[in-house]
Amino acid sequence: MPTGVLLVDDHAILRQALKRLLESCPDFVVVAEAGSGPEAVELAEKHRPDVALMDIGMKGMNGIEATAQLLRRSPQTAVLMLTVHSSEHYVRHAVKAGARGYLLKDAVEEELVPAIQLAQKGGRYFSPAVAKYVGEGDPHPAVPTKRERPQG
Amino acid sequence: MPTRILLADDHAILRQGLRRILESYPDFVVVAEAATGLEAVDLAEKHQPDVAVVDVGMKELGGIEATAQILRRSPRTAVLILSMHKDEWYVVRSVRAGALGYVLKDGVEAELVRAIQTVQRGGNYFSPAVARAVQEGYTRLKKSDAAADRYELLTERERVIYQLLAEGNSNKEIANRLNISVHTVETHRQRLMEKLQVHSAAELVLSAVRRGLIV
Repeated sequence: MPTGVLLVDDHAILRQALKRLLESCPDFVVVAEAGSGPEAVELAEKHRPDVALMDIGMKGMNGIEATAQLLRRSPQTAVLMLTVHSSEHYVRHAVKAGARGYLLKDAVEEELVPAIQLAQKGGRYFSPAVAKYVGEGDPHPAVPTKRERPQG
Repeated sequence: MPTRILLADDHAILRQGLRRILESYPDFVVVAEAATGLEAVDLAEKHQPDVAVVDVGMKELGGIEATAQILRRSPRTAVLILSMHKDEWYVVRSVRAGALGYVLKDGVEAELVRAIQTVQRGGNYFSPAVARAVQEGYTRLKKSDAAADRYELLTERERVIYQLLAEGNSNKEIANRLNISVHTVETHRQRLMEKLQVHSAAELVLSAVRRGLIV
């Protein structure tokens, strides 16, 4: 069975680019595409994807809030953030919301494919630039620290 | 002969996907990929592509100034801007820099392909959401703030160094990146600050943010 993937990003051209990359690999099938947070939650409930690739900066509901809501409706989905934001603030909040991984958009295909495979098998993956915020090699989700600013 | 394309965007994953999309059409071939505006200028000079697809927000040199510099080194290239910004400010400046088209990232594959084909023939293509901005904004901008922006006074080299400084690079780092001496960087820095009428590093950064140069 190929891994069913939900793509969430407000830029259609990026969704199509990702779809093309993933579907060139026979292990993946893109089951749905969402252009907003609420749409992602709805489509996840309907399609129960194995993996959701989730943008953060979206109008209305951001990807971190969408992750939390999506996981309530489809707990078996592994959510991987795919974003331009590399700050500790976002990484920690994404992990707290239940994300199993965090990839930066300057990642390449060679990083994306194994990251999805790992997350789908229950593992976690963080791009090298952000791994330090969650404790590299730490199997447990990071606990937010006192230094952390409230979500704004 | 297939259309030879240069892709410039700071996100590798988007470049790779776009390459895959474009190369599924027999009449397109991607000859180079650039991750920054400065890289795009160098690669355009080297490859003289038919079309350059250029993101607006890029490090080292923003896509709009990169467009102007690409066209000076490779006048045969048709530049198509690929951007997330709908604002008139970006669209009009892109056109003034010489771009033949402007496509939004919320557009779809079919639109991008059509846009590339159109600009390659020398035509213009604008996503529907920005086309009106072009018509309304162009004349207005020509009269007013274009002339007023002191950025227009900078040389090509000063524009690159301005953005590199604003991104937090030291004189030494800039000298290494551009293969020039620290002394030359310092001279450029003084001259560009004079032209922009900024008097401190903080003011320089702020002015670059205001001009939309910082990603």
